[in-house]
Amino acid sequence: MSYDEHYISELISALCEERATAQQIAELDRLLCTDEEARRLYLKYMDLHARLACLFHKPAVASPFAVPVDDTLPWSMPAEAVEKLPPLTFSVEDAPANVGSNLQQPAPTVSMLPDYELPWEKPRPKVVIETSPPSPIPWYSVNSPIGLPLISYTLGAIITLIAIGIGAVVQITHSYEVAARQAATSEKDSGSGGGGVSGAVAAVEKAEPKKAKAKKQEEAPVVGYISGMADCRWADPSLKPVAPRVRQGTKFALASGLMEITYSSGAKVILQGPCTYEIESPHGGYLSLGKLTARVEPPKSDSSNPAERSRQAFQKRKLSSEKSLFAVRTPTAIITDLGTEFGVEVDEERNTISHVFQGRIEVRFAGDVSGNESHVVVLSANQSARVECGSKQEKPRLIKLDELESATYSAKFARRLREPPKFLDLLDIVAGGDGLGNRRERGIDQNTGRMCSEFHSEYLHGACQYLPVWRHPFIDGVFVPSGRCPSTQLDSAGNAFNGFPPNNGATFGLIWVRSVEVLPEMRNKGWIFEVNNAHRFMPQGRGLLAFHANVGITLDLAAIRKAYPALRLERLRAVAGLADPRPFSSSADGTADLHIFLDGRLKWQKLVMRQEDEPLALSVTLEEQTRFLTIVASDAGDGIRDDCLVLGDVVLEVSPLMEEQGPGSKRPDFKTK
Amino acid sequence: MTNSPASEHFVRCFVHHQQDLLSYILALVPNIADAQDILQETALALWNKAAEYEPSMPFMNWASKFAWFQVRKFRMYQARRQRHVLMLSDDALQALVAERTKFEPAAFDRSVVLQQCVEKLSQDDRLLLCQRYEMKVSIRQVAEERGVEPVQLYKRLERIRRILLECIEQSTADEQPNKQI
Repeated sequence: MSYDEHYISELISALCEERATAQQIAELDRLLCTDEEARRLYLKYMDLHARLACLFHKPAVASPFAVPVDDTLPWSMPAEAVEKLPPLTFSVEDAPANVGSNLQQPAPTVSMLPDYELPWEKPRPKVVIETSPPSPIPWYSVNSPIGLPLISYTLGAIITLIAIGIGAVVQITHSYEVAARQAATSEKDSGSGGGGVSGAVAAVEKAEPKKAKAKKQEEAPVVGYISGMADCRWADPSLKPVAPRVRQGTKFALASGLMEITYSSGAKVILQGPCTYEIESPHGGYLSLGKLTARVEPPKSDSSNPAERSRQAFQKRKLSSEKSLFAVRTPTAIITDLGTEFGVEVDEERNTISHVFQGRIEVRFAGDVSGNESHVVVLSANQSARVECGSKQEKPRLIKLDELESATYSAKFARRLREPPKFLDLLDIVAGGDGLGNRRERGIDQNTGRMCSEFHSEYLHGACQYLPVWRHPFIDGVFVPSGRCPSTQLDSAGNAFNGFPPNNGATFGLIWVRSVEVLPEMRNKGWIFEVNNAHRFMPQGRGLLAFHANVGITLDLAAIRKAYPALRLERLRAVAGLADPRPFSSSADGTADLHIFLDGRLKWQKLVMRQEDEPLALSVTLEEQTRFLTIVASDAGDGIRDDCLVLGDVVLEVSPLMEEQGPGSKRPDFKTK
Repeated sequence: MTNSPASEHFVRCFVHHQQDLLSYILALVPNIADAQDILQETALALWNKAAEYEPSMPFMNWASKFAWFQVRKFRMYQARRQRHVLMLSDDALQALVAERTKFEPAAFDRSVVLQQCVEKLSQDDRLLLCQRYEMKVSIRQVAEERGVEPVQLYKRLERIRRILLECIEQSTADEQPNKQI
């Protein structure tokens, strides 16, 4: 699964139960637009939702369209039987800490009345469709099987005839007006008199009806598909795509955002709004305004479906026989691919700028068939050219740009739907995300290894045990470093450390990710929401990791690298310090140590951190082969009271590893361990 | 439409695919009551156009177009009424429709598998499903009666659905090799 399955199912469940917030719906919407796995999960979930509704649904009216329901199902119990059921019990995992006392008490009996007034569903009229009419109903009645269709067909036919009549009159009038105008113009141009009516008739014959045009559009061959969209807004809503398939002749008018079209030939075009582009052929299109980036590559043949493989092979043979080069036409130039990645921009004055990222392209004037070499330029990597149309009197000019201008243009083109990230948000990861999101207000219990959605502040004594975090592939495990244990295991590979100062092995609260601003519902929920001057640990305003001693967490960097193969993990960055817990606690004299381990080796350490210390900028370089990154907060020897260690703006800085593959274009694979 | 063999065939097809259609609609309009209304409208539209149905073509492909049209009509109606209903965007809906076309028709009846999976649930879990889907009692009301927080029941319902999804996946995965043989 390419995203946290539980997180998505939570969002979908909230949507099903009509309790999703606008933020949740926006998040789900974003996932559905961008993540194929999220869409699959959503469809499966909704399919289950629908089938459960059918399975438990008892139709009130017998209808030939109703699905028979087996009344003998074991869970379709009468109310009397239900009342005899034992009281419900809940597992501790489900229940928040503050309702634990309720579990001891017997639950109230559930009363289930079959005729319960439904608070969330108004009674709706059921449609009953009879396949055969009852005999006493006259044939012309709306209740008869003939009468209703007859009346509806008659009404429909009358309305259609009226609409066709009006349409024909409007069309003919308009066509004659246009034709008469054209005829008048042609007569004026030629200087001849007469022939106005015949000219109009001829022009009317030429005028193609809109319907025929639409039909022609539907019959046009499919030349590719929309392979991605990012934040698209449409300049012309009538040109908004309604299906992923792209036919020849399709026009797109983007107001903003990015849209990627993949041609059947393998060529990919990223349209960058505002932009107007028309698919002219299977090997190119017409860019009338805006920017695009094209990358030409052979079609992939890794499909597991034999029929698809055969179709692709056929397509490949067909394409190779045609030997067509991919070309982008603009009002002033034709840019032909010679095996490459390039960008084209058409400005409002219809000038065309072409830039090559890789390979070579040929730029020539639009409509130039003379073969004049001065009208053609071949550009190679990092070169740009501009075709200026000039005024009416001037001829178009083709100017090859210098390196500086080329570099300026190169930065203007979007080469990916999403740019690779500069960092992975460790706060998002600890909160259950993949590092690219902004998840907050979640955490991990260092005493159980479970992910939590509710914060609690409790003193507990940790066991001398390393606890794997099964729910998150990026987090290897958590532990409580204890001086009482002979040594503390740091990761699942068995690396251990026995140099922590002696302590009683106690821990307080959870590893928790807090938002920059304390949400109203989180006030008074624990120390992390009440600390003083929390903002000084979040200069970049990302969030805060509550890391009260004694606690340790280990990240599986290998899993992160596997999920983001195009990224190199550079370093861990954070702002660390001891927060002032005085509103929460009466004193603020805690001291704590912070340790960073790479594969069990101590890499960075700060001993005896105090509340009065300035926030500490933490930066630890990650080596390429490092698998485990362990962060530990331990008591500095004076007990864990007020050891409110926090890490603000915690990120893993990354850099792109490969030029070709943008990680931002695909979410990582979130497989369970 | 009369009781011709063609109409009988149409009704059989509809009944057979009714759950699939509801699933299709529910993916686009997540409220069950709204989805059932749309299903009814779709049924009417299909019935009116039943004469145009070619028995040789897949019924769902044909019927889903009508359902899609009804969903769009419903969304336009909601938008016109200025109801502040939180809805998925058009882009998301189109992506879902496109994704759904990739699904191959299942070689097994998912409803039968689901029924078997529901039978494996504990009595309490079945009772909750019964209240939610059959008796249509709101979760808030159920929580009130049981003296628990609604969020607990929401979580529990979500967990039951996850268990059922896993059970269906497991059952269908077990059945696949047999089908191939």
